Amino acid sequence: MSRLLNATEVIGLAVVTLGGDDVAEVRDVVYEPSRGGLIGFTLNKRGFFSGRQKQVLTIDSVRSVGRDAVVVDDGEALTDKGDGKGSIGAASSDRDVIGASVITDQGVELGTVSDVVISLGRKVEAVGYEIVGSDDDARRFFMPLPDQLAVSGDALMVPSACKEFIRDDLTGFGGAVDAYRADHGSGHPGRGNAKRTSGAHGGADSSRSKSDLYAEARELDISGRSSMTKAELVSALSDRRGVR
Amino acid sequence: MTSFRNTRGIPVVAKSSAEQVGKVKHFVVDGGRIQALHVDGGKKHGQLVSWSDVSAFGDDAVIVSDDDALRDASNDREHRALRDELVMLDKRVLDDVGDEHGSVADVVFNPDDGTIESMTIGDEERVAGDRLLGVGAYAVMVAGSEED
Repeated sequence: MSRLLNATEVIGLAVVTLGGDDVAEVRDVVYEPSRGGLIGFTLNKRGFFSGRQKQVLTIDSVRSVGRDAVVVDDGEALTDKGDGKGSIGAASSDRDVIGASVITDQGVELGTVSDVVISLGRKVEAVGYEIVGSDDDARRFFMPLPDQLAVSGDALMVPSACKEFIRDDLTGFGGAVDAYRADHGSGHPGRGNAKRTSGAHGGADSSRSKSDLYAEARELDISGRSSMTKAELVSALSDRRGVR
Repeated sequence: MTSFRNTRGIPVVAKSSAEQVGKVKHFVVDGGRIQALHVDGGKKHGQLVSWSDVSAFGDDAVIVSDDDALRDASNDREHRALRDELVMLDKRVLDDVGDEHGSVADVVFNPDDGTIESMTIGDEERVAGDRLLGVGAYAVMVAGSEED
């Protein structure tokens, strides 16, 4: 699991091209809870008091998100916002996950969402939520993004199993996300490449070469192997071993 | 090998007249090599010398054939260079993952062909020239490690 960061900490980061020019800065992180993923970023122009930039940055055009900058290939990465469903320009009411209460399918309220946790690097994705507990001490904790969830305007319904993977700090949270995903499969659309680095074989697999993994997938006759990414191969192999 | 810090301010001298046409101010770098010298203090208007017009880059002086080598900016990138937007020294270094690595302390280049050999970042870190991706107004971009 790569490094993790609260999504709100990305706000204000410079958007920099490979040519070294800063073309914008992040105004807000656009997140779509019902699809369980980041859509992209709205932007401000660079410099103080420069105001909002009309163009937006979709997650597909992001090369990497680091601690100090969002990297894009060039200025062409910025696009005019569309207004279709699911685009950055669409109405944001169904995205206001911050402040939503989190309720398990066993009817227990865990708290309210205070932030979305994203993984940094070349594969940017939402991996969990920061939640402020509903008990008196308002403890802050982190919970993996559930594979199955329902979202309404004011609540998230999450599997009760999520509770086991709650962590108090981001340092231990990466491992919890991996463990959660290993336990709950990778059938979520858009997150089929969830990494599995825990379990009996996963850790070893992820350090093997892709061609090596592919060879084993061929031996085990795993279907769809030719179109799989390395992470998907690791995942498929550990699934197959699990049922043997 | 020599470096930006070592050669900043050395005179640019015309071989035909032995006159100084200016001093090296900055370097215009693109595609992993020096494309032109930004020269100031000259009598003529032009402030750029194409690398191809440099007949020798010595430790103490840059030799050009004559003062016709001085020219004006001919494209957008050169105009930006003359506004000092693309100066490498002391600029922040970002890798393509988006992490910052301090600022450019010095740039080592081959005086024979102008290729960038390496960059020193901060006190210690040295980055090979072939990792240089681009020089812009905001940052010097380098290829990151493959960890992520």
